[in-house]
Amino acid sequence: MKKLLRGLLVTAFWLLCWQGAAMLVGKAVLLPPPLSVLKALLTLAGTWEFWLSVMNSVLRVLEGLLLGVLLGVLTAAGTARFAPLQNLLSPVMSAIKATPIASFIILALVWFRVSFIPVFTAFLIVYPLVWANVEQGIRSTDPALLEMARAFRMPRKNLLTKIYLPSVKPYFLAAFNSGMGMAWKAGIAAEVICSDRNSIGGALHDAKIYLETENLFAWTFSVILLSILLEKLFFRLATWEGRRRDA
Amino acid sequence: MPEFRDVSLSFDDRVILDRFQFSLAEKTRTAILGTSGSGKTTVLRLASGLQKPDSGTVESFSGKPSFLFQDDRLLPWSSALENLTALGIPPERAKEYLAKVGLAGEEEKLPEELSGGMKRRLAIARCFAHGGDVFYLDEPLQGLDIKTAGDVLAFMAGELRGKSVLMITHNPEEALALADRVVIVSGPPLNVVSDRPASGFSGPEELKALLSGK
Repeated sequence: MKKLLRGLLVTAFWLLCWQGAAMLVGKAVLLPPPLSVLKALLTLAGTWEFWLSVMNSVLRVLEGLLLGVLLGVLTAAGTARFAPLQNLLSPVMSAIKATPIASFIILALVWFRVSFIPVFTAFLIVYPLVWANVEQGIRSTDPALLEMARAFRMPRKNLLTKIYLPSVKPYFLAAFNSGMGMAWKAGIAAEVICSDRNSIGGALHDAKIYLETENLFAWTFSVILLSILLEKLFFRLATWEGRRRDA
Repeated sequence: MPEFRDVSLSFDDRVILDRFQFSLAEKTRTAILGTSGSGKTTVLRLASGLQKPDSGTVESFSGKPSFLFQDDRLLPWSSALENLTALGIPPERAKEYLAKVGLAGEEEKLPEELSGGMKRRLAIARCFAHGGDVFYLDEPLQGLDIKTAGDVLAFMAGELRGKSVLMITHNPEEALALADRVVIVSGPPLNVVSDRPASGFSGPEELKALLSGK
């Protein structure tokens, strides 16, 4: 209760600051007051285009995320097992990590249809992250447990599910958690750059063009809210197995 | 016949074995006694094939092996029961062996929820539920209190009858209770100080005296 009250007071303080700053500036185009942003958000939420854009953006980023996770895990399994593959692929990882994401987005504009660009961008963020973390997880599997498994001739399926998967899990979750946040922001940025229709990034782009600053703020707030929501959802999924165990 | 021929092994600059010769017999229970750091665990690792020598040859026992590691090596995220079934041991047999070492009712607990002695008994249950023709045991009763050690010793003596066993220990009572042959070593580099049938000792006191070099 005390925590809730404190949260409300802090929020109220910053809203007041915002209101004060907006009054000082005196131009809604530069800094709209909080109430008109709320009004813009409510108006947006009443249109089907808003929900279509949200759904499109979320689905595309999730697609890229999933693709990155799948390929990242597979590549990690390969590079952890075979040193030559690791040698061959490590420059690719370095290249992906070092290249500015904007360069990839612009390249993608040349290569793919517009709606695939956010997927590709999210993928490029998540793939090296999952790959590097999962590979590290595989490598840091306790050699004493692996020797035990070899000594007892543990069935291969159990070697995977009872030793490798639990060892890799914390590394994977860490990569997934930060990957999701980054992929979401990069995906939206990709949509802005390629001004994709019926997407959050596309709407942000339009708001900028037409100087609809209230809408710009309103869309930005929806991005933040969705980000929190996705993170919460993911946290639920990640801890679900743990809670089932305790039950 | 399981045997070490001219076996040498070093870790960094430390010579553990230097042209070591040693023979073992099938269906015999051999205990190797020595002070810690003498290299006796290395003999067990070489004999079981977990470690390869730098030079020389090691011939292992024939048949299905089972292990009791000095450091338990339990799966920290798996329950006591799953630690056994993960090796392909059927659940019924796993439960039976957990009960045999006094862990009935602890099947669902994680290793971290068990005391040191209980973890040791879990590792012992895993070793014998897995079963086999050959048993490699490293300090089998380490960390057990006197009361449970007695019960577990009796259980192990029954399970090891007629099997090929190579056991490492620094405990004379354990060696005399479980082995037919007692080998006392010193080192490194490892060398055999005494090699006799267990029946040739008057009791643990004589072994202790030999161990301390008197």
